[in-house]
Amino acid sequence: MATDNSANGDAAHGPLEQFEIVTLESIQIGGLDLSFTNSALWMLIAVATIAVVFGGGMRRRAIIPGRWQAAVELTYQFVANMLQDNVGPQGARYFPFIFTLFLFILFGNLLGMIPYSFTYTSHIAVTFAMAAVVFVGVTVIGLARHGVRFLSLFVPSGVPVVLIPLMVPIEIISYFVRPVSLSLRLFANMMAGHTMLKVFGGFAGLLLSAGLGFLAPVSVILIVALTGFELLVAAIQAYVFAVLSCLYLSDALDLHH
Amino acid sequence: MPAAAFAESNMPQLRVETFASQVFWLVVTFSVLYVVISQIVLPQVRTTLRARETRIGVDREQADELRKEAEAAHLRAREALAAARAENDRLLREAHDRAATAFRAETQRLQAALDNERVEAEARIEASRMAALRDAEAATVELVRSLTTTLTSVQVDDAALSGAVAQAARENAT
Repeated sequence: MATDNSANGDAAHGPLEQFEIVTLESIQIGGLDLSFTNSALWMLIAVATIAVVFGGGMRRRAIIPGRWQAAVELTYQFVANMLQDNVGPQGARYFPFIFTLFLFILFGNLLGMIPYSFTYTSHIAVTFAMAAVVFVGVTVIGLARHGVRFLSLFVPSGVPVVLIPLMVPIEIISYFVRPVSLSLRLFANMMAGHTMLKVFGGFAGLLLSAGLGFLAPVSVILIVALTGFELLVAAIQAYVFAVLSCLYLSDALDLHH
Repeated sequence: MPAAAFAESNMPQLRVETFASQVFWLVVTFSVLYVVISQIVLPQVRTTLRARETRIGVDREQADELRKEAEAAHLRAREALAAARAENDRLLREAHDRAATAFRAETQRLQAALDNERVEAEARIEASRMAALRDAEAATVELVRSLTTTLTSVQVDDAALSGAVAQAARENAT
């Protein structure tokens, strides 16, 4: 769309410009704009990267793994343990989904740290779609498993009867807020981090053009520190998303509350 | 600058017209990744981990067996050693007993031989003494006769003379 032009402006770029969705190949189907964009491109790159890293790591399937294979196996066991700790053995069925979810978010976040790349996890549409799938999936699993008894999730055990009229609405609201908080957390973290990097970068440029160039290194040092911090956030947010999905799944499977 | 951007609601994230494309490509790429992960990557990792576990289990069992064997061999060796030590003690005791018995027998034999020799020697001494006594008697008889003949010219009866000498000798001996 019109975003193509603004992205090529040579003046000081706004900190939000990096989140601009740029159409690379226009595709219109049934009145829907399903264009191949920079967001879609980086999703493809993430999938390809994951396939290469994980397929390549397992190409020899050695009894005694090398570093690459060990990294793949460690990731596998990290997610497997997370599922085991939070859901238990009955969560094993959902392992492929949780593993895919974790990797898709992790690589989206990490690839977003490459300068001039695009972070698809910084868009609420993407994070909310994933959170919604988790939310709907978990609810369907819970209803299919427990039927009406699934609703007992909204009645916390051990609460005085007097408090139940108060607690049930709170529980219901907190349940339906889950996908919102889940998606907002990831989106806001990614967006805030990238915006902050851009602001500090722009600030260095501003200092230079304002004749205060001697102050610019301070800004650059801050960017370096922030980049390290953002790499941490990239991993932590992928972990948080996956762990919360596991906890929601555990709620639906066990009804413990 | 960012405040102004927020105020104008200029966030690219809020452009609803991009949602369909984002969600569409999310579904496509996520599904592809899900298939790759669940059909290719996870089975490979799983078989590898299982193979390793089996290998470790087999190795551990083997190590257990070998350890048990070693312990049994050690036990056998200790038993053999104890048996050998007992056998050694027995042989030593037997040899000692045999030597002691032989020593006793030899001592007795020698003692008997010595006793024998002593008895024989005593008999010989007695015989010699008797012979000497007899010789002395005979000499005495001869002396007495020759003295008597020379001094008294009396012919003394031999039998009476030897009887008297023997009588005196017996009285002297007692």
